[in-house]
Amino acid sequence: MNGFSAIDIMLNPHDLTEILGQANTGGVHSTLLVNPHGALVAFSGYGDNAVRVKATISSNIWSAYEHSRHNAIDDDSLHCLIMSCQTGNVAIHHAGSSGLLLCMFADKTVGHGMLKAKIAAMAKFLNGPLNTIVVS
Amino acid sequence: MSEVYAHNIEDIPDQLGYLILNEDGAVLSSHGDLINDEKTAKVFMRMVQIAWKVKLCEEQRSVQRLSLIFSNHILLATVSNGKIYIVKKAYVPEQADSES
Amino acid sequence: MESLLQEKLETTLQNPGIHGIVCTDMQGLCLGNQGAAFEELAGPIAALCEEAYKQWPSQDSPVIVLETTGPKSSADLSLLIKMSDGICTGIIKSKHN
Repeated sequence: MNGFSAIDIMLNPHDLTEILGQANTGGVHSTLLVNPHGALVAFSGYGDNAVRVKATISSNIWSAYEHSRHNAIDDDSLHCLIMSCQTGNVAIHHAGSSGLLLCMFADKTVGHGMLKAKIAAMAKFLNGPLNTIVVS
Repeated sequence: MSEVYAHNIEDIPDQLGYLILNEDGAVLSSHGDLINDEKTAKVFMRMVQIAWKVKLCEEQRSVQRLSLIFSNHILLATVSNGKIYIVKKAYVPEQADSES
Repeated sequence: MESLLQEKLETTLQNPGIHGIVCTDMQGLCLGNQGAAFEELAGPIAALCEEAYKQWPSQDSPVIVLETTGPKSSADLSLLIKMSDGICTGIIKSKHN
């Protein structure tokens, strides 16, 4: 029996990169998909300096907040994390049900609201296709 | 409590009511549609606190007035001498005037 | 993705007397700004809209106008704010124009 027969939908890595690339406009310079362990799954953007490091750090920050969520006022899980750094803004959003994270790196000119709207739209779009893959 | 002088608020044309609040948001005087309107007083208190901190440009002197324009009435608020004056006026859009 | 919003902001700024324009979501996070309207205005604008919406949720959201005085009367500015579809827009314009 064919090993792929159980999978109805295949995720095309090329298309995934292309979709991520759609967000790289108006000041956003890279969009990446990271697994819960901090390894890079997909990447699109220019100036890919230290992208693997960025991926790991982002995932690390996310899990730090996720682990301390019992300290929060309500026990709702983390949806989106926006950071304002010295040279740019970063947003992290969960994507799909398997714990994948979507990260977006932008310059200071991109407003927090725009970054949040973009990452939320991208995460919503990826939700369907990403739910068909399972990260162990 | 000493009587609050309402200046000439009652003489404002199309005036439908007014509220005078002190710094803590307590109603000192009220009239017309806004008589004892604690809810409007509370909202304006919060809005004035936000609005009077806004800086539109570097050389701005002060905030003069906060207006809320609804489809058929306007609520105007200003601060003077530590008191907040809120006036409700009937609103007649200018365009409607010129068209008729 | 956001080119339409940017385009609208730029065309609005072309109008006479307009000094700046800023768009924000209901959490006070800036969606875009042009001209003299700084990103920092996003917070107060969203807060004012939120207060008005909480008090008068059934009515059409009011236009909130904030008038300020400058060193000269020609430098008097007004900030016009309106909320629609969960997005607040603020426009800075000169009063005497």
